[in-house]
Amino acid sequence: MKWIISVHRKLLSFYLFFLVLIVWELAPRLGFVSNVFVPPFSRIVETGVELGLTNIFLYISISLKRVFVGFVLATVLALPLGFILAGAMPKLAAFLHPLTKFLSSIPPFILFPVFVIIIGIGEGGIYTVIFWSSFWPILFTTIAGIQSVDPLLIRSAKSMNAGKLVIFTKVILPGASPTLITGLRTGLTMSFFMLIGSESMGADSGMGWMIHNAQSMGFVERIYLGAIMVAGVGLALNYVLEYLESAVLQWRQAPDSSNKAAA
Amino acid sequence: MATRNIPVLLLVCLRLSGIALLCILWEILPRSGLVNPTFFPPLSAVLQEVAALLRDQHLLGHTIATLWRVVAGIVLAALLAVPAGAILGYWLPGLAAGLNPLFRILAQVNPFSLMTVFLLFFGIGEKAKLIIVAWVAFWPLLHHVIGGVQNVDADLLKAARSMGTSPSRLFLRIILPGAAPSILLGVRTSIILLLAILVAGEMLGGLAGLGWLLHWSSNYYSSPYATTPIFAVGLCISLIGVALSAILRKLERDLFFWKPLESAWSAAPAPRTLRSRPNRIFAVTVLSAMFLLLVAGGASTSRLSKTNGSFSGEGDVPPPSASGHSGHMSHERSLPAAGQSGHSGHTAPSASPVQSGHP
Repeated sequence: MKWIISVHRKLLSFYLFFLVLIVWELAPRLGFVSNVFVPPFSRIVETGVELGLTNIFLYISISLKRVFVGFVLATVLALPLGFILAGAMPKLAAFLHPLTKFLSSIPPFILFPVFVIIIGIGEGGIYTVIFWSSFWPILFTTIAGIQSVDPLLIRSAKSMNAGKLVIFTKVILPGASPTLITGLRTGLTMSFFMLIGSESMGADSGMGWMIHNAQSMGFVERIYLGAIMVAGVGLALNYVLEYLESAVLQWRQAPDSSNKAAA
Repeated sequence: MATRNIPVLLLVCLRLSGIALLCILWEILPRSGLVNPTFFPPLSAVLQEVAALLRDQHLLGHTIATLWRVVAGIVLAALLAVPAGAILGYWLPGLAAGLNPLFRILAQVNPFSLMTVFLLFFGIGEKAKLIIVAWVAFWPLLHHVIGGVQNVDADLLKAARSMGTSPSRLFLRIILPGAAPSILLGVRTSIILLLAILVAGEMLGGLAGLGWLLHWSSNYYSSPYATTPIFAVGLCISLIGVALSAILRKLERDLFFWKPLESAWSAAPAPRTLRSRPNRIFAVTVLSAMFLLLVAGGASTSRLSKTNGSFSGEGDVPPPSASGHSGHMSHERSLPAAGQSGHSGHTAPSASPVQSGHP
């Protein structure tokens, strides 16, 4: 009896998932909603087959490449900058704080026309949008993470005559890593959100372009197909990062869960 | 934590000097020609453009429209997410855990990709934009509500239950206040994303709002520097973002004084003495401002949409001469002729390299 319940628990989300799909399939067919606006799910699958797996993978890979270029660039710049600002120059961090606050709240889209004028239509503008939208969350969380490392740990390391480099690699970095990874996740989510918008504004390939193209041509099925693709890829990225998080922060998991149980 | 040694006054000066330096650089670099002023206009030109937009293009109305959408969208999302999250988190935790994958898929559904579908269902009016904002705000909120409800101190719950508290009272008195910090944190972390999404939504299809104004003004480069309107509207949007997150931060500090504040990069640790007593005045002010915005902003927004809708065609292309054509434009303006000439007539300072006005 117990194993039935456990299987049932595991499948719970799938039940609802299938329920959503069935409702999606039946509602247009039975005429509850217009089947032009909401095509039944099978038609969307058909469109996907028609489009071809190669094309779909091509679009996804192009979009992923854009995200990764912008995201890696932002990470490579923001992480060291955050280390330096938080660790070595807290006064400079205070000095820059309003400036960065202001810059971070500029939506990357409104810079898109400017980027297009300066860099030109093409990959540069998209990379810049993605870079911009993931740079600030990563920078902020990096600084916050480093500043929230327990000072007691740093002091005790110092009292044991640890060098600056050793303190950084052995104390500060592990202590800040949960926050760092949260920042990376936020940045990636943010940039993936922005990617679709920027691709639909100025690009000639990728998932956002596919959706935009379908919108202007009136292929409603393809819009839904694109939405499903985007959601799937975003979910996959999220799971990958979550896996990385749990793999890197194994030591963190145990006390966390015991805390929760105690509370 | 070396910042503890910096005195408060010096810190304020430091922070202000950061802004001042940015302003000075923004003014000097384009003027000296180090940066191409066509692409990156000096601050004074941008400020003039802000004034011109304020005078001629209902900048204030568009700002209110955008603010109204953000606030209304968040309120809508909160009205749906808080009860749903509380029920799922407290009474049906198994279902919440089971539904988690589905929620995560839905949270990943990008509102841009469904923009057209939203437009098909809800039209290009307010509803589509509200739904977009509410959609983006709903999922993080739901996540935070469930998390907040499940992390409510178990001792409090047990104590309340042992005293025979009814479920509704338990919900209102224990669960909701316990989860409130988490909810506000959810709003605060997603506000910048919300604003960005909303602006993009307004750019793609709308009749009012800062995004629409940006889209409209980037279509016609009347001012001496081609990109001035973009920077002017961008400045407004960014300031709104800064102001909203500052207000939310202050609210968090005032309302949840009993909860230790986990700092998202506050260079100076918050002085404890300031947080020892609850300060309701600010919260009440914000709340009443929100209500005022919801009521008055909605009316003003719908009026503005109608105004712009009537001239959305010709509005994109302003008449070539200031005095000539503006007489028979149908749109509603207090002083059409003066407005037009005011906008095109505000020319660059004489040192500007590009003097092409209207084509």
